[in-house]
Amino acid sequence: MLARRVLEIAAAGALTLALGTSLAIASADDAIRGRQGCMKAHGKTVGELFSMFKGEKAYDNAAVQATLTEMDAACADWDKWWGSDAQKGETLKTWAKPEVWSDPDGFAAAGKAFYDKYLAIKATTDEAGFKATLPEFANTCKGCHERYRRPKE
Amino acid sequence: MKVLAPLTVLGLLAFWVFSQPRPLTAADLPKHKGDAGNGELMFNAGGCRSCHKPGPDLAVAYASLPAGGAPLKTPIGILYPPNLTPDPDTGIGRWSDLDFVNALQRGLAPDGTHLIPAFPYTSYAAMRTKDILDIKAYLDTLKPVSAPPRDPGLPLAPLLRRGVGLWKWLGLDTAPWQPDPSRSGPWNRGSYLVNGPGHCAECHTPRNIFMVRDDGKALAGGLHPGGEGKVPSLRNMIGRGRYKDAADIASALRYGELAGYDKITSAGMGEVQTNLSKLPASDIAAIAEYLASLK
Repeated sequence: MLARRVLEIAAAGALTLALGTSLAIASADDAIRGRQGCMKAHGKTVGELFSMFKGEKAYDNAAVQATLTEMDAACADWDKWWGSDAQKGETLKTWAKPEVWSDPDGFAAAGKAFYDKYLAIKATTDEAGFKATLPEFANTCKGCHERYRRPKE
Repeated sequence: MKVLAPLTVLGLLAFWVFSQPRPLTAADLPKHKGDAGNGELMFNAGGCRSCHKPGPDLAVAYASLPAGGAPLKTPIGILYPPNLTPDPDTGIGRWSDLDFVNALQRGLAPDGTHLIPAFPYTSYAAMRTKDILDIKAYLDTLKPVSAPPRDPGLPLAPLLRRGVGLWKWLGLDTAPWQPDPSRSGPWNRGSYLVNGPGHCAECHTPRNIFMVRDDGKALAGGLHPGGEGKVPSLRNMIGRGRYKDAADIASALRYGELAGYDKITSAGMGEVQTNLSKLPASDIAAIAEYLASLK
């Protein structure tokens, strides 16, 4: 009877431990997956905007708004992805540099500079305004990439 | 002891003699009226503002001016590149043309002190002196900003600076850039911009144990001066699949992240790209043609 009780407790303990560990893995990897999905969405949106900038596609404010909204939606959980437990994924690779966590103010300022230009490009309503604002918007990408992302080989 | 003392004196004397500044003289300057337009182009090709940008206290008011003072991480410590605006007291307002040329092409301050080669005079020495004078003409048009120099507090600074004079025997090649007549005009323009004002080799060429550029391995990749790992090779970029062709390189330099070239922005190259994007399209294409030809 006692043996059975010990076995039950041990099994419950092992289960809790396994569950806890798997949850922890899921959270760091989930954060990285979220970050990378958000960045991919940035790339896709900037690509679409650039084709209008270069004239490969006709300028269309509705399409501009749609792709910007899509990008923003992919990054809705941004604030949840940069916890100190998400510096390294257990299975996923990340290019985020330790400076993200050692210099949170600088990282937040670079993010804000980007977001301000995001609002500026979103507020444009004609082609001239769009073409004048887009390079400024794209220029803020490097605000984070230069300092807070390791070079990608 | 009897032998050591004279040897030490001889050694110190040799150090003193060989570390002397070797400036250019007024006779070395070409007759030339500075062209501020070309000077601005050269200023952007050199990306001067990136290192000489204002420090945090002036960054908001004078963001676009090379007022100096922003910290620069180097292998010997943090430096504070000086004020390039024509302020007479804290900038280069009192500098003569000769002072300016000696700084850029011989690495010497107006008082003859050796400048730390984080300032890439080792590349600017290859430039046409007229282009240097044009940069001065451009700087003279800028708004003077009062931004006093900041002492980096280097250990043994006077000895270190004097020692740079010795290092120059190894590290400072004063031969001017030479065109290759077998190549096209744009290729030669690109070669000049890359190896002169652009000073690409300062980071993209490896250095030997004396911290001298190993030009036998020109642009084959080096170590990041701010300690951010490796700086990639610029050789055979098309063969290695980094870019499709010269037009693709030009597009990356001109548009950067705007056209989705996100690998070009890391560890300072994004800022370099911003500077280069200000060049005329023909110059960007020339740089790309030259780089695409490197095997």
